[in-house]
Amino acid sequence: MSHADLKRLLISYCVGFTSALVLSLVAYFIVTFNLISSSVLTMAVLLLLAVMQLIIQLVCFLHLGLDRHSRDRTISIGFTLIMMLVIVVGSLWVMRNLDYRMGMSPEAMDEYMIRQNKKGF
Amino acid sequence: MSVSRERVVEKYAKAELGFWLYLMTDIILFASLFATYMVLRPNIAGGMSSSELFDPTFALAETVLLLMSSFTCGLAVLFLRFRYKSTGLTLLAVTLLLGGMFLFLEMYEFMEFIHEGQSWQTSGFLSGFFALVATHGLHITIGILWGLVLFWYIFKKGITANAMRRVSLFSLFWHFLDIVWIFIFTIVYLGAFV
Repeated sequence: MSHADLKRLLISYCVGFTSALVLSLVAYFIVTFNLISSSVLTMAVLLLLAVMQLIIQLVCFLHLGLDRHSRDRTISIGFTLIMMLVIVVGSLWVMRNLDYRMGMSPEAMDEYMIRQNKKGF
Repeated sequence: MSVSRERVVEKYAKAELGFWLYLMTDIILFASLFATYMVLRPNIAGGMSSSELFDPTFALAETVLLLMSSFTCGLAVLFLRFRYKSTGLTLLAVTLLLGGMFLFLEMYEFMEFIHEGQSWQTSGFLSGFFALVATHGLHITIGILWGLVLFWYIFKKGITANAMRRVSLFSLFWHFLDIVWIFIFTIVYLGAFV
């Protein structure tokens, strides 16, 4: 490794740090000043900012890429992120569905059960 | 010389991949805790809700501290790799100091909540919150201990191949914890006000 490498890596760390800081501040200001009125849109933008920061930190700090040196790590984190989405989205989906089905009055639940029973499940 | 150097590089590559796979399992652990938190969040059981309890500015201060710590950690490893021992060790010390300050703020926040009667026993939301954030805090605590040992090791023995391998793995761990915190900041703290 030469001093050119040192300079290149230093720049990469500084770029990563600055952009991560800016993204965090943008997310903070969006929430504190209520810049977006729709709450679904706000959450989507916040998650987008977080994912951008994830990618920036993975590339600038953890030096992930598709070259020979880091390919194995990139593939394993890709697989893990898919598993993570399955766990999080799956849990939310199942639990919300359960909440919806259990959140009825006893009478409504009786009616619902009778109706489902007629359908023959 | 070249054979032993190759062996060092190969040993590092194996250790790095192995440690990386451990971090991947940690992602799954945190994913489960995030899912638990998000499912339990509406269940406040008469306690305070997330938007009444959290202070986004406080969370931003924690975020900036941890981000700076992650940055100096990367620089520390870089300077050690290029044999600048005193610069590298100073940056490592700054990393640990910033990490310590982060941990102090987190502890302070926890004490504040418990003092207000909002402990993990109060509601499902708070159980999920404490489980998620304290697991991250526990990782940070272990990271600080690891960093202190490494600091001592490099201070005593200099920048050996073993020291370099260990400090590189430590930096993977530290950057990873910062990435997890970004999602805690976004989903737990900022998400409370959406």
